[in-house]
Amino acid sequence: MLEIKNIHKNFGSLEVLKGASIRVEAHQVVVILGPSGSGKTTLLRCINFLEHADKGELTVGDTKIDFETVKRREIREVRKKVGFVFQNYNLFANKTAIQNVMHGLIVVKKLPKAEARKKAEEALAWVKLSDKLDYYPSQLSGGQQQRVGIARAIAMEPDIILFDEPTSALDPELIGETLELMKNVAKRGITMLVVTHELSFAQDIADKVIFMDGGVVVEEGTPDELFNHTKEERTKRFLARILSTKTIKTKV
Amino acid sequence: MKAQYFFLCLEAAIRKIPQNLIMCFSTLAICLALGMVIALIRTYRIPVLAPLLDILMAVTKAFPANLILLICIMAYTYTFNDIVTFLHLNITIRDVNLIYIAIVGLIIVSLPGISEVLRGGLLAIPKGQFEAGYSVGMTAFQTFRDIILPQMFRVIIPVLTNSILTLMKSTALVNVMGVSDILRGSIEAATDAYCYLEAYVAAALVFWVLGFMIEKIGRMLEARFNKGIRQIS
Ligand SMILES: Nc1ncnc2c1ncn2[C@@H]1O[C@H](COP(=O)(O)OP(=O)(O)OP(=O)(O)O)[C@@H](O)[C@H]1O
Ligand SMILES: [Mg+2]
Repeated sequence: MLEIKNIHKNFGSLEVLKGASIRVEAHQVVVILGPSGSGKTTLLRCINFLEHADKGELTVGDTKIDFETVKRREIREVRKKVGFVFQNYNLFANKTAIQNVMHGLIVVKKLPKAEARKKAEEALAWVKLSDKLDYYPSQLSGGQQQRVGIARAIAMEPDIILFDEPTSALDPELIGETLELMKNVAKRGITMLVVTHELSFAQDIADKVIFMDGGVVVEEGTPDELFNHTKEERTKRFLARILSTKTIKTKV
Repeated sequence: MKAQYFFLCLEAAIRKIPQNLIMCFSTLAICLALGMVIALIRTYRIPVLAPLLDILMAVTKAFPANLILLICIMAYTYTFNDIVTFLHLNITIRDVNLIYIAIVGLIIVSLPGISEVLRGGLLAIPKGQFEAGYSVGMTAFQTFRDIILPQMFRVIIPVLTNSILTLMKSTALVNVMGVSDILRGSIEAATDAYCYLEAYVAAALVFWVLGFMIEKIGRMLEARFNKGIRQIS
């Protein structure tokens, strides 16, 4: 479904991605963990070309791309197949909730307006925001904005949705409902690649957990393999640090 | 001040309002279009063009407006015959309405300021707004047109209103080129009776009303664009 091979990305003299490789199968939920600055956000941003990787290969569905020689047409093709949910929501500030969801359907998918509206209403109903259709982002809480962001991504029916710490800008009491919603996204069979520090989410939902550090993949496996049978010393240290700062309910 | 002369001049001034409005708003339209292109080139540092425009704008900004207008009309009269010959046109200098030259001059006068206002607006929009557009598959142009531009206008309306006011006032300078306008119309009406004070006050009154209206329309647009959207402070 989605495969990245040997991706490299520098910001000036700073090497951020140093040959990480990642594979996500269709309908899988893959979670990326890693310390701050390890290049998780950069990796996600390189997938839909918000950042341009220097080297490596990207495969999305049947589109295969070499980062070095990528063409404008290929970038658009990938962006249509990949949805993105931002840490700070990034809703269109000049559009209402329903317009945020509709706009891509009309402009990119070329749906007639009435049909786009119907789809957008459905998507917003699904994230339980039917009563907020005509609200502007500034009139919505962080949690509500993130739900619009998720509805906007889902309505476009992408092959895969990337989530970059979707709950880390939210108040603690709103994190739960957003994670719950993401679990429902997973239940719909949508392929997801999620960067998060919510270990409980990874444990409950992920098919695969990837631990990144220093721009490479250090260790990957099922949640059980990674959390309960950790192989690498670096992973162990990272998990210990997260567990000491967060109290999580472990089901295993 | 004699009321009779005053009203004579006022009537002459009012008759010329369309002339100033045409000059003001056609200059504005062209400056917005050109200014946006310049702002984009300078913000995204397009090689060669960006530094060239930096210099050009800085230099143009330094000239007094009436000097620019004088240079325009002189350059025009000096080169008219060459241009006509070059283009194989069969016209004389009298066939061309000088208002076009006035508009060219006013564009040169206003462009640096207006493109700077637009650049400020562009810089005020968070990068995430572009990225949101790209993430749903929109092109750079679609994102700019549907997401960035409307937000930019909301940000710049107060400052732009001011630029339009300045531009409206500059239209009174075109009489150095021999182009008729509110001020010139009013003065012409005064020559017989030699009532220049009345003429100037009449012209001032007309400009005040126009300025007042521009300000009002600016406020209205501001309120409209701000509807429901967070104020950037
Ligand atoms: N646009 C940029 N210009 C320069 N350096 C950047 C840029 N974006 C990221 N970096 C650097 O790249 C490194 C990786 O950043 P990235 O945001 O990918 O980390 P992250 O794993 O997402 O961290 P966090 O968990 O804090 O979000 C950091 O050192 C950061 O300072
Ligand atoms: Mg990050």
